Amino acid sequence: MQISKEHLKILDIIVKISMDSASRSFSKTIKHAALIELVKTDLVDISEITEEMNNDFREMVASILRLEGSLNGKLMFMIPLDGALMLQDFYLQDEPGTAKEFDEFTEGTVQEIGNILASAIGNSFAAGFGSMLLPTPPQVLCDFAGSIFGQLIFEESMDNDKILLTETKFKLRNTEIDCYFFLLPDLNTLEESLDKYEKASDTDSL
Amino acid sequence: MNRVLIVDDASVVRLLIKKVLKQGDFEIVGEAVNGVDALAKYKELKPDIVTMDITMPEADGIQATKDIIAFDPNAKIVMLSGIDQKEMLWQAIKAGASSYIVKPFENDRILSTLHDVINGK
Repeated sequence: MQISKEHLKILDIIVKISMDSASRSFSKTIKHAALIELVKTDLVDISEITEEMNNDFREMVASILRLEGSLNGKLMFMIPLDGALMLQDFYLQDEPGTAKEFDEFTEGTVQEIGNILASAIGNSFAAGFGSMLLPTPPQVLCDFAGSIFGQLIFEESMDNDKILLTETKFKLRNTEIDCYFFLLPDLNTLEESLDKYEKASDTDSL
Repeated sequence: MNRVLIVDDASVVRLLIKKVLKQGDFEIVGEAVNGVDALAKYKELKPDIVTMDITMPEADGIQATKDIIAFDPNAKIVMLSGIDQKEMLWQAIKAGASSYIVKPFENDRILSTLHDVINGK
């Protein structure tokens, strides 16, 4: 797996800008501030990140999507089950505590938040790379963190020891709820997109 | 009352749109969960206006809009999507959409857009 340090740095900056936009969309969707606590982009060791996730014993709800276009990749929004219920109340503009147990509306809320975040990322990347990037319909999973994460990286872990992963952690203001957003860009299309981005930037600066 | 068909694969989004439209003079006559369902429900219910998601399984919102317009060239369809990209907007307009709202939306924006489209503005 190869990606230059320079490209990694460009990607890190683009992801941070994209996540600012995604965070605003997230907050507007739930009419509640979703604050970014962490954004990092790095080549990570699959066994280490898997162990970290396996040590998180919380039951989670996650929405997994693919991004398709000039840059391909996978995205996942993941939140603890109790947080998903709170998110459902925010989204449906219900009194806090209305949602009591996981049902189709909880699933739909996580699905829609995943869709909104993926769309915001797609919109930012599309603006940066000058091409169209579209999310696919989401797949929603309810399981332990390690199991869900295993499904996200299943294909990549077949052939690689490391994956390029961007991880964002949000905290919902005035709550104890934290939630996560992961992006796994496809390296081949990423390199092509970053090359084009670099060339376009060089041309602009002439 | 203006009769509305809501098309979105997420039940929670359909529920939210219903809540918002009930604040205006709209009657929800039906819901569809994908593009194929949207055309069938449109033919059956003949709504005054349709709210249409884009990213859906089976047939997406762009295909469903083309299919509905082929059946009824005067159909009024408002796209509701998180995708804010020029090319997608252009595809929606070419398919026959009357308007396009980017999610997340303000409640007033949906109400005013649907009124404008129904009134031919």
